[in-house]
Amino acid sequence: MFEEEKRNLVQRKNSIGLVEVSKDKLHSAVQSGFEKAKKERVLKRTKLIKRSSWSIVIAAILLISFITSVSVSPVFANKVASIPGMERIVGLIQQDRGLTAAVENDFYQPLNLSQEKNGMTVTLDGVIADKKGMVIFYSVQSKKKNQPLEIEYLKLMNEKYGNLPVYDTTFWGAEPPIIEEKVFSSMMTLETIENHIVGNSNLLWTIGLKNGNKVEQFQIPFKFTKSSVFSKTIDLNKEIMIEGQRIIVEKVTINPIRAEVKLKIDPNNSKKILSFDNLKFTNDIGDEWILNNNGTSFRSLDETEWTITLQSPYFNNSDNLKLVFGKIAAIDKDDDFILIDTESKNFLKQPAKSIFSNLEIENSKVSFIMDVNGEYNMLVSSSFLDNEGKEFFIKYDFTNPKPGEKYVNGLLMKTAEKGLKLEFELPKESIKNPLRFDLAYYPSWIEEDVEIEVK
Amino acid sequence: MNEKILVKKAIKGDDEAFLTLMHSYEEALYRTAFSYLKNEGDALEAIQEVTYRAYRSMKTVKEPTYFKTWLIRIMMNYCQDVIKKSKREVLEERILSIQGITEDYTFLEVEEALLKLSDYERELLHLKYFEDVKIKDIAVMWNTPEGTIKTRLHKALRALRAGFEEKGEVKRV
Repeated sequence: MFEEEKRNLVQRKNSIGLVEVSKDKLHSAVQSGFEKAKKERVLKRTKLIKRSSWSIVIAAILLISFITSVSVSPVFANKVASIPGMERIVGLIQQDRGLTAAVENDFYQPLNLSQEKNGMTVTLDGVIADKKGMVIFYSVQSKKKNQPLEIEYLKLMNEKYGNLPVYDTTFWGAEPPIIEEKVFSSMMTLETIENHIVGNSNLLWTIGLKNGNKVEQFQIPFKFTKSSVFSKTIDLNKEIMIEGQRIIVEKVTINPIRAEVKLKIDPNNSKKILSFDNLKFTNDIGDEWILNNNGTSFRSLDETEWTITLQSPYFNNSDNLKLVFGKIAAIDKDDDFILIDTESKNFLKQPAKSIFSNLEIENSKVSFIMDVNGEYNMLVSSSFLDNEGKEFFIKYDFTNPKPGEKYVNGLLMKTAEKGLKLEFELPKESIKNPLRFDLAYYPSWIEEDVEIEVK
Repeated sequence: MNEKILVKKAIKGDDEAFLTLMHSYEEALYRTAFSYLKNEGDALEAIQEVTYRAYRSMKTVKEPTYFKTWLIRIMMNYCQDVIKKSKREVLEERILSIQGITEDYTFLEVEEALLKLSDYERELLHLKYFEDVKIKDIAVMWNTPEGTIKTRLHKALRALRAGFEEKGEVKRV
């Protein structure tokens, strides 16, 4: 039966077998896939911090790697050639279509201000500024090759050393970066609270470099030109349904540096939405603007309002723009927490198809494993509640404690099986079982082909 | 080195073993990708993406003997996603553009008929008649009795025939 069909299929196979391809191309395709995986493994480390810290701010510049082969547009290449110090910046922004376009459109303001101390030179290369935020590019150079330096802190203040109403959305995660290259370049991203304008054009940029046990402070005052371009705000108020979950896209605000999407989540949804990792803008000529490399997102306390920052399609070469959702992490509301009984040493509650396991309680230390399979996202909230509603935060090595909260020490480790192990001490004061952790992330997805025309 | 040992090493996180394996399968994977995507650029991108996904999920390889089919599975999933995302017309254009590789007119018809199948049917036919995976092994892979696989394979061939015939009718009009 079906002899003809089978013959056709075999013939087809033979034809495709004749297609030639160079061994080199195959080899390098495998190689670059491998490198991508290696790189991401390191990046995930920093993502972890985002999930586990309640602070608004997060993380990830440090590992934007230094790209070896740079492919850029001619306009961009010209800019690079004409601005001193620009070549250092290329590698930092080339994965960000929005920032690259901002440079092409003359938003980069070169500064080249340096300060030298004890064989270390810090250079403020330049800034990109719009009404909503600023990206500061800097380089650190050490006279000694491979002198390990760590960045202890980075700050932007006004001239009178006052704090600015800005969020620093730059930063690295678990460990501050160690600078071992002879020249290390990076960038710092700042965003203002709504309706504020960054700075008053006279600012003071500060970096603390740790050399051995000593922290050396560098301060560079600078002036910049305030941006005169206005944000593009597009009110949408469009309702979408993804697997029965109602989401309203309220508006999109686009500035040259970043774009912001405001979403409202229906509180009556049956699922709790945990993350919009795959949100992006696209246009009909195939350009994509993805989550800002650290995927900063702000949520209102009741988690019904989300503000998500994306790369900016401010300079869009097409007259159309779409917002695409992709896979969304979401879990049934009945399933969005775990309960731990420290007496019976059991999970009283965990999601269906749970990836929590190995609960151990010994010497007033609790530990369990989250089988995240190499995707090192923190699954649980940074605090737990006992049965009387007392809240305890877990203080990891990288936690900046908030005043007025109760903390217990904790530790987060990778396991040999690509899982995460969370260990924390039980509070000294008496607590009532069970302990409740809310889920911050879980590999459970909803997905539907939903696109919204932005303009 | 014995492949099974290499796979075991790769599962344990040995990068060199992983790369050796990937390089030994890159050409086979390329053919698979090409059979779905029909052009070099996309097929190479598929290799890159599959290498990336394979590395990410190495730990999920349960049975080293089936490593190759495991890779093919990742590749098929990837290609199907790509096809779904790209527009139908684009694909047909691609099919036309590779017609040069074969003198046989039926090639185009086969491709079109394949596009009409469900993912599952297409995968079955692909595994059996492109990758030459034994029915016994397909059964293990899908954890389904051999008899069932045979029945479904028949159904898939029938669907393919229906695809040809439909095409024929259109032509007659």
